[in-house]
Amino acid sequence: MARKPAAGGSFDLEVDVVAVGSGLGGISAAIAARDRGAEVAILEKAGKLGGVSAYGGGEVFVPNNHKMREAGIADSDAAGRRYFEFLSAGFHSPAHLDRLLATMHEAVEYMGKEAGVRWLSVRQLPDYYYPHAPGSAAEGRYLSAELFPGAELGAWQGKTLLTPHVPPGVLHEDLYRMGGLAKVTEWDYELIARRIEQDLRGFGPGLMGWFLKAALVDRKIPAFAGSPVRELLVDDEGAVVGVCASREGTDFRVRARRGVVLAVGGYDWNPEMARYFESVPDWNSACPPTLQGDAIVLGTEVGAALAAVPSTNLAMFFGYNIPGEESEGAPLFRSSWECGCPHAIWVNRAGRRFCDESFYKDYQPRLREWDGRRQTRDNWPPFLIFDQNYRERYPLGSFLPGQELPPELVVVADRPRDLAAQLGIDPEGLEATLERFNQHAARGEDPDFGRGAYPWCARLTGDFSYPNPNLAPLDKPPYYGVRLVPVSVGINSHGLKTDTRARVVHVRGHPIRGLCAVGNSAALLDLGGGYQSGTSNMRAITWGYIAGRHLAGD
Amino acid sequence: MPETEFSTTTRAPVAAVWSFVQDMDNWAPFLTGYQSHERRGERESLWTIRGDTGVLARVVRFEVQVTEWSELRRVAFTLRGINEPMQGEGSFSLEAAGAGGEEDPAPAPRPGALSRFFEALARLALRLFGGGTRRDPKAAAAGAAAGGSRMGFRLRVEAGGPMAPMVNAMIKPALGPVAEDLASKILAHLEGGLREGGAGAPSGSGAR
Repeated sequence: MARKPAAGGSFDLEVDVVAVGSGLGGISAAIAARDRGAEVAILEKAGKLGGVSAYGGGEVFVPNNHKMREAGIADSDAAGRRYFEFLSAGFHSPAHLDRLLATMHEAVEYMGKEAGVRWLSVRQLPDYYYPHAPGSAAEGRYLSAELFPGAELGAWQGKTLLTPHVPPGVLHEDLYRMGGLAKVTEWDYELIARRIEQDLRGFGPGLMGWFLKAALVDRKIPAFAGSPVRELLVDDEGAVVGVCASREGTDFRVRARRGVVLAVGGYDWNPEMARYFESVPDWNSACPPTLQGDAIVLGTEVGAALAAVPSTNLAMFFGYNIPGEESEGAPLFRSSWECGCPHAIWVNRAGRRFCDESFYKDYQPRLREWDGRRQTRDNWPPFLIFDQNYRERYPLGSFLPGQELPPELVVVADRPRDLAAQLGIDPEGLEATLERFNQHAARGEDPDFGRGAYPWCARLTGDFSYPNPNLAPLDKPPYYGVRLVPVSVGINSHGLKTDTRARVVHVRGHPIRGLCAVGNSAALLDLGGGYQSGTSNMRAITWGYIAGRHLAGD
Repeated sequence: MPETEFSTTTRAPVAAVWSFVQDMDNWAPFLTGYQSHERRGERESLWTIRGDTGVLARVVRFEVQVTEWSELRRVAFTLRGINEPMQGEGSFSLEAAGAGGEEDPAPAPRPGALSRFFEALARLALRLFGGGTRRDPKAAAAGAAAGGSRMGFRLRVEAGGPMAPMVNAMIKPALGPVAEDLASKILAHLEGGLREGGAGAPSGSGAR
């Protein structure tokens, strides 16, 4: 029998709705509930607001969105549905997908009209699987926000998360105009400097800036940073009626007359959950270290059911930690974009390529491949290999060409076989791989894995000065190698089971009164077995909007 | 070009301040992000610190060269990043300020989410004036003023490479808040010693 934390006693604060978490899910719920007349409070575990949403690229994936229509880009709801069904690979709940698709436009447009989020349609950025998947589009489905002036946050300006993962003060269009991630040596750093001086925020911090301003400044919703929720308070009938948080070293009990929205992300920084739920031998995260599975702990403690989708192809990248690099008090793991640049490949311990390195949707399931006879994962771990051509053109993480690379991370050798020996790779295998790869790469071809076939990959990391932006030979010594590790971006396979009103479902099958879960705290029943950039932000906004309105009495 | 200057006063006499700060071993472990330091001769030292910009923390190694060493008065230095394209220079000055010290206006609060790395850097730089020859404290005390001290500090840091404008833009607003933190920590140490010796309460601090 589930323990029932006591709901009796006095409260430090009484409101209608408590949003636990200050990313897009929590803030969208707070805005939606407030606008329906509810009193709302926001509790955030971290010392700064914004959650994972502020840490990422700030893309919101909405097929057939209003900004596409304004720009005259053709799309349709039917095409969008076909694409989502392709992504899900049959693992979605039709009712959840229906509700998502039926509400996403309303939610996103509401945040524009009523909350002042200044949406932009990102041009030149295709869907992941365009043009190969049904219903995919060449551009326009990603929304982002205009540059956000940090000063508009008032007292919260210095208490919101920024991100080490994207350049500050930049929009997608700026990045593409400057040549993309590969052309970091050619970026307009004078422009970036001016925007830093004005605290103009783009990508995730910019998007979150607009939402946080709408909630904290315009609506004056009280928010409490550094206030982790330790337990949900339930009444005798099992309804959630509040939370008990920790604040400044003491209990902070908040009554929620209508309910609580859990929007605290997944469990990237909970090693046990990651190990058991994601089924990989190693796990690291690019997210803030507050993602510790709190939704699962809090929810299951009051009887919530869990649900899961296949972990095979969600959003697990590979990358590295530069020794000594940290962010928000935890090791900073960077996704390796190097693998999509020319003059770089991945190999396994046999020295063989095994995937289209530029497309993580291809490499992710191949890394999980299991040899059932030998009980091994032969492609795990991958090794990044690049040559001096690469070093002269592209960065490794934040290390520009010409900068010393940390020897603890990067192995260097004049010959591929010596590099292989240092990395523990089969030397003959690596030599043979390079010989074959170079022969075809010189012509811009990859007959083995079709690298360069997906325009999204070219847009992300490609160098458009090459015939194939993702491909070129490795033929100039010295050679460099890095052993890579998995780097999650917070899109986990397990979460709380919810219904189509975002209510958390009890293990006995009924909704738990007064408890909703949204964003990555809720299982991906709407998306099933696939993921595409911007879907996580879109579903956080949409389900947050649904939950907020539901709890406010819709 | 990112640069900061500040001054502060203390009731601690010049000789006491000098006596403490001239030996880097006295204060190195207090340095935020301090990991190690190594003397490389009379005027050169290598420092490893964990610098934190607020968004990103990184282990940074600096080579510091003392370029001027005027006993009880002034130290100037240069610094060069070993694993980061960065260079800079700075100085520390010390003079008698009268028995009660002088009050400087309180520093205005400034935003500084990216500041911790540069705070650490500036703290490091401030303390680098101890990179010279060890002196006899008794000899130093003999020439000291009887009243309090005014400490002046200046630091300029400049990033290099293609990213220089961006990094410098991050440094520029971050250097200002360094002053208050620097002053308070140094004064806390120096004036704590005075209190132990019965010399009275701190006289106040400030930055400009």
